[in-house]
Amino acid sequence: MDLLLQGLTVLFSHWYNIAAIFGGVAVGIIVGALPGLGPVAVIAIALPFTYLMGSLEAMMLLLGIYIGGIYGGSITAILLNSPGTPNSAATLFDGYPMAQQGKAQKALKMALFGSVTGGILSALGLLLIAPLLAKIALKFGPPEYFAIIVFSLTIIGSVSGKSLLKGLICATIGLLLSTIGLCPISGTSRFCFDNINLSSGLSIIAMLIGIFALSEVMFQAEKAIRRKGQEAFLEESAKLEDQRVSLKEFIRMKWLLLRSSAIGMSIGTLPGIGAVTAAFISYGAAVRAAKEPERFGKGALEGVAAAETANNAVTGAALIPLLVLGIPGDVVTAILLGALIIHGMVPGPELFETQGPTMFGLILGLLVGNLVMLLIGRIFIKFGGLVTKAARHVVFPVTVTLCIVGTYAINSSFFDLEIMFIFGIIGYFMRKWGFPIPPLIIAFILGPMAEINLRQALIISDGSMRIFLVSPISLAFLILTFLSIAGVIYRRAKER
Amino acid sequence: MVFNKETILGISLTGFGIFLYCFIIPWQVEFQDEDGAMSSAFFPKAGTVLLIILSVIFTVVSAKTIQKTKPKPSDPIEKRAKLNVLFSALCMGLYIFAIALVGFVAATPPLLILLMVILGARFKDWVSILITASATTIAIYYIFMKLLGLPMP
Repeated sequence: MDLLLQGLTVLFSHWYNIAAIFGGVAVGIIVGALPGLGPVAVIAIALPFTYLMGSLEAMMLLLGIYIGGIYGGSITAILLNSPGTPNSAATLFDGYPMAQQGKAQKALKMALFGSVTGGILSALGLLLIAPLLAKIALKFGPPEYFAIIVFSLTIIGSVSGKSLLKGLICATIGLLLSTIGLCPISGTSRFCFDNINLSSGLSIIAMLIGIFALSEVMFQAEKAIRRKGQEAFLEESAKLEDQRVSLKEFIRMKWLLLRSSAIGMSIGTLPGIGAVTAAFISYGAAVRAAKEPERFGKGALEGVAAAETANNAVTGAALIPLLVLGIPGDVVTAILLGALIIHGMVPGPELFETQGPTMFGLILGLLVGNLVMLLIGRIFIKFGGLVTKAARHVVFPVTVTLCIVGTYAINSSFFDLEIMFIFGIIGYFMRKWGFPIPPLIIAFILGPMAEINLRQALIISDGSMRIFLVSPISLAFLILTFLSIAGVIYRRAKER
Repeated sequence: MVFNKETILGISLTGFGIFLYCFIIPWQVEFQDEDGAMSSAFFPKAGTVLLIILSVIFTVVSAKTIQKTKPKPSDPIEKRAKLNVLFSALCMGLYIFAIALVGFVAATPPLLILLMVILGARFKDWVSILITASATTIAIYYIFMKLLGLPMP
């Protein structure tokens, strides 16, 4: 308790700590919303600027960018069908359909409230049960990771739309696409065709932007012939309930928000999985728990809430292995690890003993950062409202330019732009012929993780599959996978 | 027998899967077996086999639902809509090609103008089209290059 009060004092003793949070969150939201750019690029750019700052102030700025960046991706996902970051890929499954139904404001508000809820619960988890979660995380090895990922893949059954067969074909193609590049275990070449650009695989962001945003522009070009006049690109519904998330709706979703936060925190604690997977697992859990799962993918508010709550719940949890064990779980936390060391804080079990007040100040700052995001997010939602009123013929060309520049900026690669364009055409025809895109994306993202962990587990067990049954965590997830598949088959049979 | 679109697609996917398994994988996937683990070719091969099986099922299922109704005569608006899609794709493809050659600042305004026209802007609003195209180019250039210091084509 004393440390907590000291942390509070450290945080609020200097106004620039709070200013850094405000600045970080605002920059994070803006950059997160730009298609292609995510928090990683901006945190890396901002890192040198923190050299002259105090330790807490610097971390507040970087954490502000981190949480703002993850939320910011949802804005363009909902409004433009173009995920600002891969973390928002699950958000657009329902976010963009909601926007097309005139509920853009409602979707944006739900994304914000979900993100803030997930972020706050995650920060509280970091404050209260960090050592316990870190110990549990250490029990996870390749068999457990593999079982979780296989379980996550079962949501393909729920996001396949009318035809499970088409969904499975798309997922298989996604899996095959994910094998392009150097083999993650042996380093051998797979489908590289002697092209150096293919050795690191297909860029996920180029693929996402192409398949969702560019294909949408082609659809808009098709519709432009039938449209008369120059209408706004998203018609806003006049009904008040379509523009806001009422307290009643928010309370009705309390279990969904808690479950999604718990999923986000659990996944965030495990190094190497990340916010994208958390969002997909949470989305899948929401579909399974729903009374009317067929509403998902067509503009279900719960879909936006589940994805956004989980991906922001990862932010606080990802700091648990970083601060308690000194293990960075992804690129962002690896940069944060560097920032901590630069500012004289060496992560590890002793960090909370040697730098107690600063660490508690940092965690409390994360809590404050989420509240700040609620405030700044509302301003951006108002701005989003203005964007919906702009004419289609202005919004989509600007989106294309932003998508192309944003994708190029990640790796300075024209090859990524070519990939984006090819997937734009593939996305157009997939949508035209009724092939669902989400299974392809899910399999593409989760496929490599499944492969790495399966093969690592088999190396550990010398080729014996028993390793998956010996571990209780792995066994539990495999049973859940079996039950989930059985549930999908039963539901599909019942629908017929 | 008249095939519908989905049957043709199913047959094409099956053919693609077989081509992948018989020619591309032996040529482009280096085989290396780790101690006790599966080889680096396992996932590409398993994925391809699964694709072939699913595509065959898809072909059979879609062939059963062949519609015997006569195809509708092509609608002129439909044709124009398809042309518009083709133009928009061409614009984006050319833009990607052009920025590699002439750079962002020179290539962006023409793309914006063309796409705006394709997406329904009226020629009589040419002043606003020109202003939007130039302002967007300048704004994006300023944000990415000056504010964020990111590389631009």
